[in-house]
Amino acid sequence: MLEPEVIVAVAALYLGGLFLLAFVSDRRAERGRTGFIRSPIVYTLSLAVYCTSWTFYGAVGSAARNGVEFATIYIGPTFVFVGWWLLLRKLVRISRNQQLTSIADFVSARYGKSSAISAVVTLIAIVAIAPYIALQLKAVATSFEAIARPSPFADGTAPRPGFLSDTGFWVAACMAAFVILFGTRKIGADESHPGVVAAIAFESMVKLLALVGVGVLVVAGLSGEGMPGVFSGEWSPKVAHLATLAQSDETRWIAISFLSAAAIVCLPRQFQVAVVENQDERHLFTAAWLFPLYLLLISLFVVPIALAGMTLLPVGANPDLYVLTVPLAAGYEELAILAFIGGLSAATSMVILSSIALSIMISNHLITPLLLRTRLIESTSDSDLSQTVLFIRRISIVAILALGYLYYRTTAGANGLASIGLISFVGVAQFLPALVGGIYWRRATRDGALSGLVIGFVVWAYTLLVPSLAAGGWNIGWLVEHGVFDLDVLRPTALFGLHGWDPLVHSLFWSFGANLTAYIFVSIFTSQSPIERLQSALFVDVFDRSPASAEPVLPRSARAEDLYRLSERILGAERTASVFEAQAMRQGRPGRLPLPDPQFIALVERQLASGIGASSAGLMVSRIAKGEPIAVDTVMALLDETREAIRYSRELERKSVELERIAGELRDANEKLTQLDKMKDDFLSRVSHELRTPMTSIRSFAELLVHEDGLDEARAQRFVAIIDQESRRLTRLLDEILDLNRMESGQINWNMETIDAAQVLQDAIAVMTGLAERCGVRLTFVPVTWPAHVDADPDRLKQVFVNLLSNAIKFNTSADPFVRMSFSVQDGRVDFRIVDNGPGIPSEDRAHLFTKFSRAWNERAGDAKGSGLGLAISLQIMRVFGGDIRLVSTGPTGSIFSVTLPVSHRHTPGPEIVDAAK
Amino acid sequence: MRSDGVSDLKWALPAALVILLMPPVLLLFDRPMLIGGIPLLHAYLFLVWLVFIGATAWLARRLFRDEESAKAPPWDGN
Repeated sequence: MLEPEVIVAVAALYLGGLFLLAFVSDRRAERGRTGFIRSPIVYTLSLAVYCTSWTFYGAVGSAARNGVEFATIYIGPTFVFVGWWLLLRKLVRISRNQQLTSIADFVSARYGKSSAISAVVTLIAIVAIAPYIALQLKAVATSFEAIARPSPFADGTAPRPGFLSDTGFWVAACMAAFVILFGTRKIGADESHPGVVAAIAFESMVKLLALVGVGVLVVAGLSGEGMPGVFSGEWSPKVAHLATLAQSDETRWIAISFLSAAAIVCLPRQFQVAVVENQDERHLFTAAWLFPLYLLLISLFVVPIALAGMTLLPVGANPDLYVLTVPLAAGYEELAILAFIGGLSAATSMVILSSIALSIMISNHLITPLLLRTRLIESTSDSDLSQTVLFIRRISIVAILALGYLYYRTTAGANGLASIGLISFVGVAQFLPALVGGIYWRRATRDGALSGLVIGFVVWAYTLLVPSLAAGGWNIGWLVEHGVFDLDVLRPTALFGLHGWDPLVHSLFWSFGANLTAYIFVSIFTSQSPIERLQSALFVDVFDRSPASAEPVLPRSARAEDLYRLSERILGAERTASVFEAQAMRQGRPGRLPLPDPQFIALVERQLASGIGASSAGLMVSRIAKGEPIAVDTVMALLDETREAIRYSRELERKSVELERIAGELRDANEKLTQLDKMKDDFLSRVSHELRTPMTSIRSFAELLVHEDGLDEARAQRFVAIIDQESRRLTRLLDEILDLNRMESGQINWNMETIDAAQVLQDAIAVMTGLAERCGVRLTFVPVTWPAHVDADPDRLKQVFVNLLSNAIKFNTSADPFVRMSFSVQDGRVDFRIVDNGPGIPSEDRAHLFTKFSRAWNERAGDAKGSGLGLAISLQIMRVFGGDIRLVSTGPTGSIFSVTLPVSHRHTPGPEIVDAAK
Repeated sequence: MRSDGVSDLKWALPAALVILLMPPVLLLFDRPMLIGGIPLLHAYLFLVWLVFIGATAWLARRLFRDEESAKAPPWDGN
C-alpha cells in the first residue's frame, strides 16, 4: 500500500512534466525547429494512442477472462498497417490535399461538404466515445484506489456515492482542466498540434516501458515462485483456457479483429493522429511496420502477467488490475508506481486526444454551423471568430468528459474494461462504409452515406448501448426483456429472433449490415448533386491528378476585400496576410490583395475549412462569393476538362509513337519499291535486249534474202534455217515470259494428280541423257526402291527437273563432269538433291538466282537451249505444289540444289514398303 | 524480385496475413501443445505477426526507394 498523497504527487509531477514537454514542443514548432517532432518515429508513437488503459489494464483482464482473444485488438490494426498502401495512404493524401480537420470533416467533404453528414458523424462519435472515456476514468479511478487502499485486491469498481468522494469525478475534472490547458491554447493554422503529438508520443513510450517492466518482472523475477512456468512446465487446469481459443469464440475472433481494424481509422482520435496530424506522407513508410511492432511488444507480456495474477493473487482479485496488483503483491512498490503512471499515461493520452478531436468536431460541425444558420454570428460582421471557436471547444471538452463520467457513474461498475471499449468500437465502425466507400466508390451519394450512418447508429444504440445501460442499472430493463412495443422479435439482444449469438457479434452483424445495405442501395437509387460529383472525383481519383495540374474549381466571383475580412475573422490577421500576399505575389500583382479568381476563392475556402470545417467554410464563402447556379453540366465540364486534358495528352503521346512507327514502315516500303522499280527497268531493258538479238539476226538474214538476187540455193537455205531457229528462240523466250507471268497471276490450269515423283525424275533423266552424252557428263541416280508419292502436275514437275538437270549439265566445266541425283523422305516431305561438280554460282548472283531479274539469266539466255527464266519458273511451279526449290550449297567444287515436295496425303506409303526399305 | 511483383505485394501481404490469422487456418494451431512452455497457438500467432512485420518493413523500404527514384528528376537538376 502507498500513501494516496504520494501517488497524487507523483501523478501531478508526471502530468506537469508532460505539460512542459508539450509547451516546449509547441514553442519549438512555432520557431520552425520541428526536427524530431516531425520524425516518423514520433508519428508512429503518436499512433500508439490507440493503446489506452484498456490495453494497459484491460488486455490482461481480457486475457484472464477470454484467453488469447485479447490479441485481436492488436491484430486488426496490424492488418490495416501491413496494407497501409491501400487505405491509409489514400486517406492521408486526400486529407492533406483538402486540408481536412477530422473524420467528420472528411466524410462530409466527400459527400458534397454536407453539414448534415458532419453533424451526424459528430453526434455518433460523441455517443460512441462516451463509454470509451468512461473506461479511462474507471481505469484511473480504480487503479488509484487499488494502489492507495489498504486492501488492493478488492474489486473496487463501484463508484462511491456523492460526487466529491468519488475518485472518478476528480479524475474527470482534472483531465478536463488538463485537456483545456493542453489542447485549446490557440486555434491552429491547421488542426495540427505538435505539442500534443510530442506529449502523446512520450506517453506511448512510458506505457510501453511500464508494461514491459511489469512483464519482465513476471517472467524473470516471479517464474520461480510457484507460477506455472511461463516459459516452461505445465499449465494448470485453472489457467489452461488461456492457452487455447475456445471453439465458440471463432465469430468473436473475426468480429473483434474486424472491429479493431475499423477502429484504427474510424476512431476520431486515431483519424486525428494518423491522418490529420500527419506531417509527411512518407512517415507511413516507417509506421507501416513500426506501429505493428509496437503493438506486438505491448501484447507480448499480457498473457504472462495474466498467468501471474491468476496464480499469485486471491480468487476475487480484479483481473483488470493485475498489472498493478501483481508487482504490489510481489513487494515491488516502485514498479507498481511505474505501472500506475503507465496506466495514467495511457488514459490521459486517450482522453486528451479524443476530447481534442471531438471538441474540434463539435465546434466545427455542430455549433458553428448552428450559429451561422441562425445568424447569431453574422458572416459580414467584423468580430473575431477565433475566440468564439476556442470558447466553444473548451465547453465541448467539459461536456465530453461530463458525458463520459455520466456513463461511468451509471454503468461502468458492471462491465470489464474490454467490453466497454468494444461497445465504442462497434459505434465508430459505423463510419467505415461511408469512409472507405467514399474514397473508392465514385457513385456513393450523400443520401446513401447519411441513411447508412443513421440506421447503423440507431441499430447499434438499440442492440448494444441499451443493453449495456440496462445492465448498469438504468431503469430500462423492460426494453431489453421484451423489446420495443413489447414485440418479442425486436428484443435488442435477439433482434428478429437471432438467438444465441454473442451480444457483440449480434450487434455488429445487425448494425453494420443495415448500415452497409442502406449505404449501397440508397446510393444506387439516388443521384449526386453537382458539388458531390466534384468532391467524389477529387477523393476517388486523388492519385490520378498530378499535383501540378490545376484542380477543378467552381466558377465563382467575390470581392477580394470581403474574402480578406472573412479570412481575418477566422484565421486571424497574421495568417490571412501571409496567405493573401503569397497569392498576390504568385499572380504578380502589387499590394496584398490578389485577383479573386475561382482558384483563389477555393484556396481561401480550404484555408477557412482548416479552422472551422469544410461545411461551415463552404457556407460562409458561399455568402460572399457569387456564382452562376451550379449545374451538373458545369461540374461535368470541369471534371471532364481536366480528365479530357490528361486523356488528350496520353492520346497524343500514343499517336506520335504510332506515327513514328508508320513512318518507319513507309520508309522501308518506299525503299523496297524503289528497288523493285529499278529491277523492273533492268528486266525490261534486258528483255528488249534479248528480243533485239534474234530480231536483228532475223531481219538481216531476211534482208539478204530479199535484196541479194544471186543467192545460191544452199546459202539461202542456211539463211532460212537461221531465221527459223532465231524465230523459234524468240517464240520460246516470249512463251516463257508469258508462262511466268501467267503463273504469277495464277492463270494457269494445273493438272494435279497423285504421282510418283521419283518416276518423274527418271523420265527427266531419260530426256536429258542425250544432252549429257554430248557434253560428256555422267548422270547417276541413286537407285530407288520405293516410290515417293506427291500431288503435282507431272509435266510441270518434269519441267523443273529438266531445267535443273540441263543447267547442271550445260554449265559443268569440270574435267570429269558428273551430276548425281538422290532423294529421301523425311517428316512428310520428299527431298530431291541434284549435285554437280561444276564451277558454282557466283556470289553476286545467288540472292537473285530464282527471280526473273536474275543477272545470270541473260548470260545464259545466249544459249540456244534456254531463256534463263527457267529457275524463276521452276520456283513458281514448286510453290504451287506446296514445295520449294533452293540452292543448298555452292562453291568451286560444285553446287547442290534441293527440290522438296510434301508427301501426298491421299497415298501414304504402306508400312511393309518402308520396312522393306529399311 | 521484379519491381511489379514487389508492387503487387502491397495487397498480397495484408491478404495473406488476414488468411493466416483468421479461422480456419488459425484453428489448425489451436491444440493443447506447448512449445518450450509456450502454447502452440500463442507461438504461432506471435511468430506470424513478427514475420509479417519484417516483410512489411522490407516492402516499405523497397517502395520508398522506388518512389524516391521515381520522384528524382531525370537530369541532375544542377
